[in-house]
Amino acid sequence: MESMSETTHHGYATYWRIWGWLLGMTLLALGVGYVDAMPGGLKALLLVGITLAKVAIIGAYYMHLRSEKLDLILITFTPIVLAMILFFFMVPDAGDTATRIMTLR
Amino acid sequence: MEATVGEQERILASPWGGGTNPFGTSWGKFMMWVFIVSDALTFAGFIVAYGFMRATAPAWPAQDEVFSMGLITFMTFALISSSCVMAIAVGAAQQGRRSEAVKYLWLTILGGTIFLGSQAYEWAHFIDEGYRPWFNPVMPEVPQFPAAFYVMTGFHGFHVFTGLVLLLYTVIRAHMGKYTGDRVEIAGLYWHFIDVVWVFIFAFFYLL
Repeated sequence: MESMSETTHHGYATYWRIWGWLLGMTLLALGVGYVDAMPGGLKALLLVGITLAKVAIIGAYYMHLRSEKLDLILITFTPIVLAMILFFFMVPDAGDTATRIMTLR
Repeated sequence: MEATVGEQERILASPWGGGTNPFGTSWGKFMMWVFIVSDALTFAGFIVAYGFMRATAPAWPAQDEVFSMGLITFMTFALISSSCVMAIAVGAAQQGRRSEAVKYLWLTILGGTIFLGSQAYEWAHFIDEGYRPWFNPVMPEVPQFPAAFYVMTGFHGFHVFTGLVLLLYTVIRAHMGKYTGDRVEIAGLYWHFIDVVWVFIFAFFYLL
């Protein structure tokens, strides 16, 4: 019983700690978004990094992926991998289209 | 009978290694994960399409001049907080502490309702200012901006609404004593997924 209450207390404390981290990272992302002097590429890189870190800790702690089997964890990566493929296949076309628009104007 | 046991041993010894339960979860939880993966692909499509539209747009409005970033941050706070209390509700339900699970489920519903109410307020404000999915009153040459806003936040908001319906169903069942930790966890997975989607929208649409 004692060990269960310890586990429970420890579990809840972890959830609140993660909540603190998530809020901290949200404020950090907000700060990055507001720095006008930062180059666009660096800003994008930082925001992607903070976002992926937030998603990773929500998945690991709140969605309990840390304690799931590797097979299930790997399945959850499929949308990110496919989205990256989609993104990198579309970027060259977006560049061409942007160039055409700029040229026409 | 012996053949069945032998068959099970053969499957368990295979590289797949999971036998009849390869992912080590209940069928309901696994189906929720499959749904989350497919739904994540839908949102990934939206975000990539948004990136494409933005890269090809001649200009893009400054988000902090169009939206109240204080409200957006408050909405993010409400959703992250609701995710935290949802995780606690799942923990309580799995350990059989029904009243605690119910209390935290109601707190999750409160957080989701605050988020949805704030989003309705934001939408009303946006509509009042003349933004339509096909028309941008401030930058008429960039109708992609309101289109991306309505589609991404609209789909996400609808997910929050359905999440609230699922949570209400779960908490009512819990009040009646007809619940299991597994069912609460399944509802929780969906709720955390909504939080994950918002994390992407918050960073890529409102901040970048």
